[in-house]
Amino acid sequence: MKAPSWFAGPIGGALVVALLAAFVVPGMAGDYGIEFATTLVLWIALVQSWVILSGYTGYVSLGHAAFVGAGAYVFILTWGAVPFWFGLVAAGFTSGLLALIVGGPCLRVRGPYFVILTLGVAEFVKYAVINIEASLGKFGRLMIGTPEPVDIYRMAVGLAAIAFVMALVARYSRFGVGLRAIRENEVAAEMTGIRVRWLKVGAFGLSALVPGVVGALMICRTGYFEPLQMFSPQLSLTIITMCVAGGSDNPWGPLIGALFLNILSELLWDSAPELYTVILGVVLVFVVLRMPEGIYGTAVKRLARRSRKAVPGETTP
Amino acid sequence: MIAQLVFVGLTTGAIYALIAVSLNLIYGTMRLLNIGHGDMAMVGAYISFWLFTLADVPPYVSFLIAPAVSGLFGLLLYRGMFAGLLRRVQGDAVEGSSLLVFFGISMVVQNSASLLFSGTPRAYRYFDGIVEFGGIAVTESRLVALAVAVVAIGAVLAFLKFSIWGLGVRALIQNRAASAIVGINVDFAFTFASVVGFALAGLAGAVISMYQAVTPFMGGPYTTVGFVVIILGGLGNINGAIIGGLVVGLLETAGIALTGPNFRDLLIYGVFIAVLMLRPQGLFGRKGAH
Amino acid sequence: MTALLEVEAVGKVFGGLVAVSDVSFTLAQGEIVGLMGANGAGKTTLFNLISGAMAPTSGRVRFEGCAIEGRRPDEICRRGIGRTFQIVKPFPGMTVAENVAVGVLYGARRRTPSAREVAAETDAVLAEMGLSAMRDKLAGELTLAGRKRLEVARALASRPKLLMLDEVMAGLTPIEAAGALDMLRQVHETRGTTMLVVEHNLRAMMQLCQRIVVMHHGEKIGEGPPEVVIRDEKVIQAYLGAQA
Repeated sequence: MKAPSWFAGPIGGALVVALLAAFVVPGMAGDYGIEFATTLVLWIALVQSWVILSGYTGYVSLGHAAFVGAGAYVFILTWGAVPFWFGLVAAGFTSGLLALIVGGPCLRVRGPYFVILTLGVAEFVKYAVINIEASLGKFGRLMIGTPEPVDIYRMAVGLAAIAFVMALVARYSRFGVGLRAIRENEVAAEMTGIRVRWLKVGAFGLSALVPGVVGALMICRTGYFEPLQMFSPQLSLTIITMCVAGGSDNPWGPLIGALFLNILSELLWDSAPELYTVILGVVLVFVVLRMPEGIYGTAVKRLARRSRKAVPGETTP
Repeated sequence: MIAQLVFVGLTTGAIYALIAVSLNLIYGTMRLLNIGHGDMAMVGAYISFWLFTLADVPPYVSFLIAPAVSGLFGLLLYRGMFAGLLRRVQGDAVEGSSLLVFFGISMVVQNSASLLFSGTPRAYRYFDGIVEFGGIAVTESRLVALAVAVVAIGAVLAFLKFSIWGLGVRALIQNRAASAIVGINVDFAFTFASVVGFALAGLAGAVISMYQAVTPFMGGPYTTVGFVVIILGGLGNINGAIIGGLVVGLLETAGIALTGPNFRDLLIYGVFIAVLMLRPQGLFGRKGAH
Repeated sequence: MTALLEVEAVGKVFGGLVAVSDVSFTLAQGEIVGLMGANGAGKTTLFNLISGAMAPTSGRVRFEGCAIEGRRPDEICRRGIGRTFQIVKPFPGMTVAENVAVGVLYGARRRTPSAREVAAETDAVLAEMGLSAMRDKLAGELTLAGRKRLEVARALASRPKLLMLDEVMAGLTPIEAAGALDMLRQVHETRGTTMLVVEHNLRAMMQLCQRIVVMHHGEKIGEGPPEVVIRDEKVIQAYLGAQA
């Protein structure tokens, strides 16, 4: 166990990095740089929120897009009617609420059933929104007067910092120990006094807050809401790929995964978007088969092994 | 009118059953969740399209070539990746890992197709005459699809039921640990499931290409429907997949006729979620049957 | 002495199969009681009924006077019943110390312990169980003996008033088993924990238990001090019958 004071370092670090990113980077980067940085930072927020449930408890959710889309939808519905900040918060809490509602029944099934079920629920929500919009005669909605790109970028940085701190605290707190125990052996976890259902549903709800706000910021960037795009399963799958590539037992792995894949995407997207996705697929297959603990997990293990070799005399029975 | 709908539902359902049976063969034996299954159908569809367009090869010949190619692909994937994975990993980890690996493969296959052939939908015309009997009007291609699905599923069932090798595969689906002990050749059963599972997906794609436009991303919906069907019929339950496929086909047809095409997806996913939450072992499965 | 655990006419039926039928016994505070019987006698099922893994079809289970049958396992654990599993279930991807910390963090307590308390108590339990040297190893990397010991440690960390041990010596070498026996006596001496023990090793049971309950085909067929029980006609017959 780590003492709470241990959090002070990383949280302070995250704050410093976030402040630097928010106020120094815009001065250095042009429009293109800010767009790239916004994309990166939004992905970081998404992957950090995803690990809280799926990384720590092992309940792999293929439905994260539902929360992005739901947040975006609430945000566009309230757009102009409520203050901007209120809309953002409402987007987050709506997604969180959605997760709490569907979480109870969904988290009763495990393993592959849960994975497929979350995909099904996300698709169901998507088509529900599409049908609602169609019956209202709307096929996409426009927003006028969205914030400047720099301001969206700064909000995204703040959101990513919040998401990181949430993932960090969730990982190293009593809550996180319980979540990981559920992943390791749910029956034993319950017999050791863990309120398994509460923890799982709580983690699901927590992990859905940030994506709701991400959805709101995403449509602020484009000024356009289109359900097929906001609820795309591709979004969920990319989140998983980033987390698996980096390693999903802690906040650092997904951070590395998001950085790695965003840079790769930036290098390839313009020239060959299909090639980017092909490489994404190859990376995913390679990581799962050859380094199941991800880039970060594998690196930590290698380093630990090396340092253990350096300290002789420790024998194991 | 009702007869017409039932017939359309059955032809749609037969193809769903074909896809679901092959998906279930792979899951039932190896516990691999193939979310790239629809993409194999896409490969089969492209093979059929290009052979017809470039070399005037009629689709019924492609019904042999497409499964041969996709079956070979299945063999290579099994030998190259999954045989090793299945030796190293056990239990729930197999399902999780296989899902991610197949997702990766799916991205590679879809986008390679997109790179090679572009995203343009492609279609050709064959067996597009209309047959009428007993007040039902149906295109020849649909009839052919139904016939091919029935023959292919029948062949798989007959193999599983009557051959000694098939007995081994069925035993493996029932209980993997016990099968290895009583001397069933697990490696053969896995190879069989990989080759036949992938081949049937390719066959389904070749059939579909007769009446649906071919695109690199056409497989996704078939994968989803495949999973809906095998959840309905029970993961790993081959007979359940056949009934589940027909049920989904009929349901979809009836749903579209009653409410319009917009609600088709809502309906399918609604049924799917309800079944998973209420009877995760499938409509026809018993608890712990697999 | 007041009864800590009262099992009253408990039964469990699976489909048509009667796994446990009309079993009653009590455990007094501080007692060590053995539960014996051939494979399939219903010992593990009885454990599952008491610890909340399953609800009994009939009968009552009282712990400190409160009916607990059919309650969630986590609640029963927090009330003060800890258990181990016949087929060990440690948290394989967590370190030995983390495994124990789960028990400290989520076990029977009035309030959430501070980080310092968790660390101190985890260390204490590790030392008590002789696991200090392996604290940073992953639980999945331990030997069977180590994993069994870790399960006892995890259960103890949740501060149980009643500790239920399901074959913690099975599969161990004679030396390891002797070590486990010493360890359990030590725990009983220092903590005074009440224990319900399932074990096939008759000699260990004779040394450890003050009383033995014998089960056969789901029913209780004998109860009493070890040296009396093993001479009981019905018990001998049941065991011989099971072997024949």
